[in-house]
Amino acid sequence: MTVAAGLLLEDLEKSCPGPGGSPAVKVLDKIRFTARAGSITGIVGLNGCGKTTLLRIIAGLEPADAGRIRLEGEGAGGIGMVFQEVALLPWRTVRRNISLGLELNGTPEARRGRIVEGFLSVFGLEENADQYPRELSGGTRQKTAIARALAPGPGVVLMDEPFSALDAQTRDGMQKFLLRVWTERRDTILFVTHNIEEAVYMSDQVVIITPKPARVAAVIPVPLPRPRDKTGPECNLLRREIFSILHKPGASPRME
Amino acid sequence: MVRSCLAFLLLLALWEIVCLAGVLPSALLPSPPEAAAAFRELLSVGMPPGRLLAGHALHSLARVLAGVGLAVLLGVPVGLALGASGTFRSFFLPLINFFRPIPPLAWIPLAILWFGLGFFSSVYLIFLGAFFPIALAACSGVRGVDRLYLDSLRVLRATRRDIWLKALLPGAMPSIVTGVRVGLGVGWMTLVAAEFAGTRGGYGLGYMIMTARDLQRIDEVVAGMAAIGLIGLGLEFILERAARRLLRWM
Repeated sequence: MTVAAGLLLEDLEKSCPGPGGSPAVKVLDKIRFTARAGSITGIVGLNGCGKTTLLRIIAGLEPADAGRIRLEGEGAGGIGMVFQEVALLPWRTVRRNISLGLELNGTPEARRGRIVEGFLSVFGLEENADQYPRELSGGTRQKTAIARALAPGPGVVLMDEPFSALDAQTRDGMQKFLLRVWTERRDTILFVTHNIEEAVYMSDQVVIITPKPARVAAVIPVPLPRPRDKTGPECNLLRREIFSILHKPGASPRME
Repeated sequence: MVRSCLAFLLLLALWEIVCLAGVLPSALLPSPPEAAAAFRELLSVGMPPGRLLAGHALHSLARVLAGVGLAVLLGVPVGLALGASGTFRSFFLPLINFFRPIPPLAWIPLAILWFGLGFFSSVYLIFLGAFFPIALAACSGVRGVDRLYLDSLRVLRATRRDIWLKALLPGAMPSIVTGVRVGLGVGWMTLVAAEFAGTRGGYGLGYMIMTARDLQRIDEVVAGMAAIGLIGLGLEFILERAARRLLRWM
């Protein structure tokens, strides 16, 4: 397996062309924070504040106008991504979806098979191995998507609201599941969410982004031992703090 | 299945009633038993005598498969290119939309001039009929592939080739399959009509029907039409099976 990487974002800037030829609109403004290797970073912000753009830039799907992205760590792999909507290829079975990244990076077939079988077993997907995405429940789909992102051994894994489409119960289960997997593997995970509770429950640090243009308003460490009590007093305190920064007067009139 | 058979039985019953009631004399419309007898005669004696229905059908099928095969071979790549490239599309689409409404049958005089009266002439007409639905289906298939799938490959550093093979092509496949089904249907219709214009070998379902007409065998004309329909039904059945296998994931 590849070693998890640290991720350093240095003053990322991005503008998009305004509607109908009007001057460019700044989307990201000097985004700067660091994610330690093997840590979970939650990125919270109101809807439409450029979180997805930020992830797309880190993933290399869009160029930044300025700033640098650095992956640090010896033998660190590339980047894996779990998309907001399910981006599994519908014409591939669970097994073949998980093997996708390994096929693309040229992993020899025998090794590929071993890795995929490993993921199927750890993720409890053996029974679904030969099913197509349309045959899966929402939770199982997202599990497959996570396995697909992890399989090639990326240095950093990005997740764009990975559980937002799931019902509350499945979401709870998936959060616990992801933490369990992470505890074993210690991937560097960056995940975007608009759910403060989720961010506090999962993360080692929470990056708060305020909108238009997106700026890092604060980076809040979450030094609580796991497993955490979602509704315990420590978590609640942090939630209140994050909420107040997010909704500071002048930051944005919109409520969650 | 039961319901589909029922529909045919109903049609036969209606046809029989029309004939029995004398609405149409058998010189204008043969009754089902008469048509069935003519069908048997086509199978055993043939029209013209000695040229059996099976021979006509085989010749027609060979032409249609060659024409549609050619249309797939050319139409799919052209359609994929149209779908993938805006430049290509803006250049070629007007041209395609100009040629598309010209019915293949209007090409018959030119086709005969170019290819003579025979196999290649009818293959060309069938190709014309099948090419456009197939190319346009491939085009819209590629354009319809969700960008999310492409992104999920790009994150994994996929090459252009990988994006084609692992996302665009399989994503466009349902549409391509539909295009081929439509193309085969159009090709089959075009073929029989094209054979009305004549065939050199003296074989083909269209040729058979025209010969029956010239001999005033209206019963064999109707039987010949039924044969065309039956073969079309069979082709569609095979294609549907193939599509279901190919698109198991849908």
